[in-house]
Amino acid sequence: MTELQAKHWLLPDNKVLRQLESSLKTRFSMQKKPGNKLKYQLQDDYDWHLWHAGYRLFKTAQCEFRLESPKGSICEIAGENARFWWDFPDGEFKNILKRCIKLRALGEICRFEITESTIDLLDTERKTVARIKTTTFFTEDAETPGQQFLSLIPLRGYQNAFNKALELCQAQLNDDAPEPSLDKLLKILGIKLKEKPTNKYGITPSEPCEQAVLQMCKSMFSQACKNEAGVILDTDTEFLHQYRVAIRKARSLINLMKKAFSETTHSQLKTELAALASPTNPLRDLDVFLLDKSYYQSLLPENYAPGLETLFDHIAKERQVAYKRVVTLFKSRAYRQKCKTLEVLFSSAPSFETESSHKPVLTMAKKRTYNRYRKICVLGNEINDETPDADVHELRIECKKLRYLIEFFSELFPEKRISTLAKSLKTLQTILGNFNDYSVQKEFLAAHLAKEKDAEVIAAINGLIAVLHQKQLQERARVCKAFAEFSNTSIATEFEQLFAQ
Amino acid sequence: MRVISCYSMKGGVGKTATAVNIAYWAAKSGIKTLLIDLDPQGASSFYFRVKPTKKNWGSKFFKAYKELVQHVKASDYENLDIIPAHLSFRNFDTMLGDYNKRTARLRKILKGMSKEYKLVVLDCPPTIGYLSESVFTASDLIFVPVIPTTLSERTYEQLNQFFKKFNYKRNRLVPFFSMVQMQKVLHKRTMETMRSRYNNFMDTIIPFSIDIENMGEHRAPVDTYARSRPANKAYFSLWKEMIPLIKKS
Ligand SMILES: Nc1ncnc2c1ncn2[C@@H]1O[C@H](COP(=O)(O)OP(=O)(O)O)[C@@H](O)[C@H]1O
Ligand SMILES: [Mg+2]
Repeated sequence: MTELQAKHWLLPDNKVLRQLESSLKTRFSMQKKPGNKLKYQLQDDYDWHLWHAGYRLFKTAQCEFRLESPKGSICEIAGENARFWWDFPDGEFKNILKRCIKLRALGEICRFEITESTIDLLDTERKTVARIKTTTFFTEDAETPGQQFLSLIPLRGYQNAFNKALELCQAQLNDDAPEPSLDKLLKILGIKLKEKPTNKYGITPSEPCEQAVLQMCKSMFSQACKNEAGVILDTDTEFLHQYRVAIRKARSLINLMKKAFSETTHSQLKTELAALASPTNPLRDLDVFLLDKSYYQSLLPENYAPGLETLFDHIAKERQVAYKRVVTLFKSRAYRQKCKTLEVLFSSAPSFETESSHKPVLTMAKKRTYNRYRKICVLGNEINDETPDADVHELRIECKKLRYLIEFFSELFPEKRISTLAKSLKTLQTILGNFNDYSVQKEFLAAHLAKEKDAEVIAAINGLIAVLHQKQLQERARVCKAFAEFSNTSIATEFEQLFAQ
Repeated sequence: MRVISCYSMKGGVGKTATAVNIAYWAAKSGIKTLLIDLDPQGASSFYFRVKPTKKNWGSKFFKAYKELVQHVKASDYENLDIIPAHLSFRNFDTMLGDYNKRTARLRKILKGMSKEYKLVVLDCPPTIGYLSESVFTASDLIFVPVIPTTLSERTYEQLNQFFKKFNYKRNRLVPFFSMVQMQKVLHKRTMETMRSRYNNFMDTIIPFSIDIENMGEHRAPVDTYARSRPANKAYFSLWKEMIPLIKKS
């Protein structure tokens, strides 16, 4: 048996609907069920992660959340202020949010209203044999005209009735429209779909190196600045994080491609960028610590809980102070001027002061990447289980630089091969990164220790430092094996083929 | 997928009223439900306003799932579909007599329904024979409405004897009191004695109610026209009580 499919039309006006009703009346009894106007908000995070993952999240005025995907919809009720995945009750809904938006906050993309009315078409027993549904979208400002769709919905086992009704609909209405969709509504509302972020900068292989690097820096820098508003509103911690990531990338790029600039230009750019990011260090450190609250709680036995709680209170207060400082900074004239200067520097024409500045960017990118890879091989091979921590940290930093090089210039190379290389490097980086994170966490706590007088808090801090130290030792023990895996011959061949010249 | 049935050897005890309202509540709780009206009188089909197919198809009922599924009709309610009865269903017992493995037949053809449905509700005619034995074999649980009178008590006793004799699992029988008039001394007394004799009676009692009688007038589940009335609450609580039993079965 072939399944009947619902049919949809765009309704030009209510006159057409009335005409259709009177023609349907010749064949069916009808029962009208007018619908209420329901208010909806389309929600997503700043990057539209849900949208790009194929989900649509609606919030009603009653704080009911409905997550729709081609597979079906899941409903959940949460508080008025639910914004993060952890604000929702346990279940599939929460899991999807966690997976898609991670540390991001949900916010409103747009508001609209929908009225759904139905007309049941009845047979002589007054049994419904098909349904007409009208869906009307309204935007909140009355000036935008609502759009109205009409759908004819079949009921199983009533094929003849459906066909008859279809005939009557087709006689009155124009061609079928696709299903009434949100994408169309967004267009009416004038909301532009936010593109998935790409790691492309629009550079070409033969472009002079300096020109390409400036263009890339400009794009990274503007990416950073887009996060300022979110930082000031304190929507979520990701805004500051992404801000810092973008600036760090620009700084790294300038350092990695040092030879494209004169000594003075290089040091000017480097210093300006560093000066921009460093005042946000304290806030980011405090954010990171606070985000890991449940992780820290899991590390210590129950009797440390009160001390740990007090520690978190103190850190949260400190965080508010740090946050206000960043806001003041971002709003200051001095800061704005610094940004303006950088913008001008990145937008100006290349000055070609060095020999390398003229060279094709591909040549430079290959050279830098291959040299870096070989340096890592030398460093890594010298590391054994007894090597001092400082050497491990150096290896980590070199790996990070290599990763940046691979990612920055990825559009100049075959996509698949680059992403495979990046993945194998990432496995090593994760272990080195964890090793480093434990150091950073230990240092953060040790630095904070000086500010605490409360014996319980001090005990909690010392407890954490001890546990973190143990964890760091465990991670250290994994470094050699991870490096051995990364330095295998097939990866070496790949590096040689892609980057050696 | 689970299969449940409303069964009693007696007529007029509330089997159909129960099947209709339980199927409705199951569907309303989001469970894809199929109600099959096995009674040639077609009372459940009537309550859902579903006309029987004109085709005289009863003789093909037990042939194959593919045949059966063609007669599925959507009800007016979300998640609830119906296979309406046909007068030719009156010959089911004779027809089944011609099959070997006759009592397993129904169970087998219903298996195909698990692709689409989570629950199948069988509304049964008041007979005992091959059809009812097929129902016993096919059902995970058999809900038996019992009017608390001496005669009904005897009928329920006979059903138990039948199960014992033919080795059907008696723990699949789930009785509940139906059409109860609390003001009647006989009803109260019978309920007491039966509850002490059988420990598997459900807690929920379906009262004798004009609102249930009116189903014939409204041709719809009680909830749609008597939402706040005790009878509606009784069916809802019966359904609530059934959920864990069905899950466990
Ligand atoms: N609890 C009740 N109170 C009053 N009338 C009822 C009740 N249950 C059923 N009836 C009515 O009694 C008659 C028989 O009920 P029905 O459900 O068709 O029984 P069965 O299917 O067991 O033959 C129907 O007219 C029905 O409306
Ligand atoms: Mg009946």
